[in-house]
Amino acid sequence: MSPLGSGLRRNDDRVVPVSPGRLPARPGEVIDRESPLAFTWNGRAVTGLAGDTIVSALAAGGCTEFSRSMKYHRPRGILTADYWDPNTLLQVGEEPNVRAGHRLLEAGMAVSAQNAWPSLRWDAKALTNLGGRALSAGFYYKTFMRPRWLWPAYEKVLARFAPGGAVDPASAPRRHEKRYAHPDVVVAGGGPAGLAAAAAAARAGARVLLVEHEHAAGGHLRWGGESERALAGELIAEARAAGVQILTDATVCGRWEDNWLSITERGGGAGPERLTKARAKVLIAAAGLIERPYTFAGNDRPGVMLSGAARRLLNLWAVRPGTRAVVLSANEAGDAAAGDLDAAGVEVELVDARAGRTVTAAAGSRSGVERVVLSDGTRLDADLLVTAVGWTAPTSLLNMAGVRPSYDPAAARFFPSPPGSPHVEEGTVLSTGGLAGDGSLDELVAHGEATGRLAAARAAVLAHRLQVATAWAAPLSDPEPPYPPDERARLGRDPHPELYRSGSDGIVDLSEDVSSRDLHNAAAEGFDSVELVKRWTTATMGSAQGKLETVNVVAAVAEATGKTIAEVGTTTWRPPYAPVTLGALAGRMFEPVRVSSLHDLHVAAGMTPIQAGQWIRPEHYGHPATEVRNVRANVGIIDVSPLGKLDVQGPDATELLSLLYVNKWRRLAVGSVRYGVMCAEDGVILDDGVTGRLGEDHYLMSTTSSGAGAMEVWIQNWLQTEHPDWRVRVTPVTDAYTSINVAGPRSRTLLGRLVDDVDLDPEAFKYMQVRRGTVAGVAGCVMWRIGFTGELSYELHVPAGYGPHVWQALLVAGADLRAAPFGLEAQRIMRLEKGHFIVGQDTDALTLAPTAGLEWLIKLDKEDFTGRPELQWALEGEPGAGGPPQLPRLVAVQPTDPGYVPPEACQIVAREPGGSERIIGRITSSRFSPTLERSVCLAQVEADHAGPGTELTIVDVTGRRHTAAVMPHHAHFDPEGERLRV
Amino acid sequence: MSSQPAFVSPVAAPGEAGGAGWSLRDESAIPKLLVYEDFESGGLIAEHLGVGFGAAIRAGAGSLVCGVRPGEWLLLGERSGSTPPAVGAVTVDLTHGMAMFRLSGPEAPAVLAAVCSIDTSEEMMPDGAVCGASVARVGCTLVRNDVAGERAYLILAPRSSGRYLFDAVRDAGAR
Repeated sequence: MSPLGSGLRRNDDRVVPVSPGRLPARPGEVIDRESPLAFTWNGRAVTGLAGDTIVSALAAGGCTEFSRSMKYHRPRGILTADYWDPNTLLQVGEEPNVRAGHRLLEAGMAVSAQNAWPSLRWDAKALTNLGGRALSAGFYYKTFMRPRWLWPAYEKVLARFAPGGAVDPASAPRRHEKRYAHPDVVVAGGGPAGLAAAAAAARAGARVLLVEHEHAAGGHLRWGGESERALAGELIAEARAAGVQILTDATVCGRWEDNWLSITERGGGAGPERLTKARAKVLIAAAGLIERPYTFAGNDRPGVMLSGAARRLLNLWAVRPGTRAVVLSANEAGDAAAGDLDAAGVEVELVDARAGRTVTAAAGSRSGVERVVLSDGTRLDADLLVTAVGWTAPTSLLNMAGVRPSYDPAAARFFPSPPGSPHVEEGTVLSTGGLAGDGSLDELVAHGEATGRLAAARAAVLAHRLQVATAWAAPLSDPEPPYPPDERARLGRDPHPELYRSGSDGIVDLSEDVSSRDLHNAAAEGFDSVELVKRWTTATMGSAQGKLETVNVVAAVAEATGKTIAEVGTTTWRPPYAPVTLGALAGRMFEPVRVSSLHDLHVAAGMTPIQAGQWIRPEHYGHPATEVRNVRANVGIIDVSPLGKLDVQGPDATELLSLLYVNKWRRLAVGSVRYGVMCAEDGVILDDGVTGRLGEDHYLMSTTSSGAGAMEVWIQNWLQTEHPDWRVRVTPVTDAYTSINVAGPRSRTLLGRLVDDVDLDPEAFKYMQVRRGTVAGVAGCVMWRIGFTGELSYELHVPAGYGPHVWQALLVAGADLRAAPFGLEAQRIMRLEKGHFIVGQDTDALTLAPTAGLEWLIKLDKEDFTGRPELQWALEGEPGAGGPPQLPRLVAVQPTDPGYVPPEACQIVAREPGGSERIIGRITSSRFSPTLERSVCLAQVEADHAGPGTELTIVDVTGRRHTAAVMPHHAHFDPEGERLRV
Repeated sequence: MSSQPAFVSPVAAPGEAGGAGWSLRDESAIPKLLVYEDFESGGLIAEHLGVGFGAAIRAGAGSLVCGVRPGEWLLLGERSGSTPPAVGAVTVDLTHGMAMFRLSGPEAPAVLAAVCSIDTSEEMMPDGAVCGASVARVGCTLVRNDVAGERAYLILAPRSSGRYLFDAVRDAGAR
């Protein structure tokens, strides 16, 4: 017979109920009877009401079975009718694992059951229930260990039994917002104590954010009697009037140092879930209490639910959960549920646990409870069993602040800490409401108000300190207020019988299908610590995350090990308090990219972009080889704006350069530029670049593009920690200039058409000199006569806002000279033809300046500089024991086959006397040179194999061998540099 | 040769965006001069500029003197009213090196809160406050610069990040 009366067929996939369980209108209901919402349940059309949750709508339609359990695929019905219900995780459209006891119904939802195949009614996987005893805790660990080679097959089968809903890989991505907030006080929990605390704190002047897990504040008052609902309304109104910001359907998921709080709003703001990162001065934990299930045979059968679930269904959604109920009550909540059920016309049998009676079994069919067996042997016909056997204090946020819960057997629950704990109650994390103790509503509200006032007062002290310490904050002249002590009256602790398990075996963790027998077996196998039992059995690790079952697990372990609950202790509650989508954690992705002022022109010219660090740069404009040939024959222009640029000014600027670089700077004339290499203290090459002397105490330094940020930090580190006495200012000006290299034999001709205040004659403006002047009408340009390509070239540093103008002017003025842009790839080819290395590509963490062929640059006859001891040792030390190591050297390499371009990072090997091969180096850069019509390479090879003419063997990724020879110098093209100096 | 060409903004045209209670405007073309404390003067420049680290003051002709770091100022706008003593002052023209946007309106703090973790409350960031901050993961200088009682922030960032940053803030506002 249907639990909802004779007029209704039992719930299953085939029946379309028409809300037969809906009661007449009730005071306090949250549904809108004038707003029906159509949706589907397992493909069948159903109708609910606005204000319904998915579960309440289905329950109103007569549904009692919502899912199959995770492991044994046992039928499951409503347990809590809220967010934590482990039995009502459903698939909604493409979204899996929706907490249907909490999610509000929307028109058009396609809702279906999970963990069932082919249907909820006929679930083939329920065969696992037949082998239930064999599927005890650790079954998978024990069974699928051997033979190891069968694991791939095991994995495929087990994957088919994985619980949960289905993810649609084709579903459209959803964007998750995040934001930051700086409230004075965050109140986690909007029950009576939380609301009172929030209002009191706000009235005391604090900025207060109240975070409520449910869709409305009020806590358990919402499904209480008339006076309770009225009180909820008053408290909410007071909080709003005081200026409290109330977030509903939101959870404080984690608490970290200094009250850094992660708050998730489900459906709040824009997007599916929003993460707020709040830095609160004081956190008030007011999460209330969570009702605890009771363990007995058949306790997971549909029709067995907690008193809170029965009252919520009745009073919020006007849903009658059964017709004939047994209510096992050990407290006022159970008594109230019995009263509500009776008032709704349900036949009720109250079993008073305080008088020693309890329930030992719920029997029935797969569709639900039919009989309840009591501890005295009495059998009662019933389609509903309601239990009210105690509470779990969700102390998570307090635990995250360093508190260990302690068990009070008289109250049959854990409390956050002994009163006066220095970690919490004396600090900036406070608790109120059920977390802190018991009391009448008046007492709870009074405690909440006192907590709010204390929080506001402490927040004011912290705000004062922060404001005084922050340079940009509004100035304060008032003295710091005294730090207020905690003088709140303590809440009491109501006595409560310890009720965890009847004499029979039942499911303790309904999320993970862990039974009391599993827990006892785990203890018998030696897992005597609750943390070990948790990991072995997976108890408390399911969707409810211990909210419902932790204390029952602890009690079972205590029972199995002969310890007390206090001795066993609890498992550790870590963030997040409630599940968070990965999308919300990731939040909106900020991935900064940088573009030069010429970016739009590159796009218009058809560039193929490449990302180098954060920079978007033109790799080429169609054909890199053509670009190379044009530079070698005519003139090309390349955007080199990402080159790091530092303005260095002050009387000690030369001292700074001398410290940073391995070469000399004192005699660099104003108007000249010099190439320099920076090494770390160990002599390893850090960066290189050209620096021009613009004035007696003024330099413009360049670094590599990739090293720009690091070099600024490196230089500032030397200045601020080693030489704060030096009079020098270093300012990054990378972005201040658009940097354009004009390269090729016709570059002087081209520039001459655009520059009239600088003499470009080769005798007046020589190689490695710098001038300041006007280019294409743009004043304030810096011109370096240098070149990375090996051609006559000028590097123009143009005020960035005028960069596009100069770029276009160069192309227009040079049209008859065949001036054309070239990209990074062409530049890379040409620099390789010239044998110029790139720091980080051709060098590595073992490349000292001498091993890169820079012996000529290192000046040991100057004053101390960074890396000098190591470099001196490398250059002058005696090889051998205790001497400098023979590190790999950077050499130019020419494959015997001129058409063969070895991929970069190919190994170079040498044959040992015994016939085996040994890796002696690698190709660091390689390209095909359109200029030389052959490959050009740089490589790192061991010093013994670095001599000119040495034959090398290159091994490519396929294992093929290619012979090559070491070149006499790095440059493959124009080794004397004649083209640069014309 | 032609005369000085037009300044090209780091932001794509039109350089303006807005929604209910907020607006974002590109002001990158405004002159920006970085001024360091003189090596020898022992605070003369600070005294001349009249403001220290963390604060900004208006210096006439619509210009603003911002104390961006201890011993460093950023002069925004016309420089005539706030040019530092010539002797010994190290200055660097960053007009072309920095993008600058004005985010204004009563919802400006909410827009900023989506991309920046700075506390923008009246106490912690009053009108005239100057601080460094990460905005959409770009290192920026923030200046509270209300106009006619309307809440406004100047956001200064490296020019090359300007286009990305403008889009990020605009997108935050649109959401």
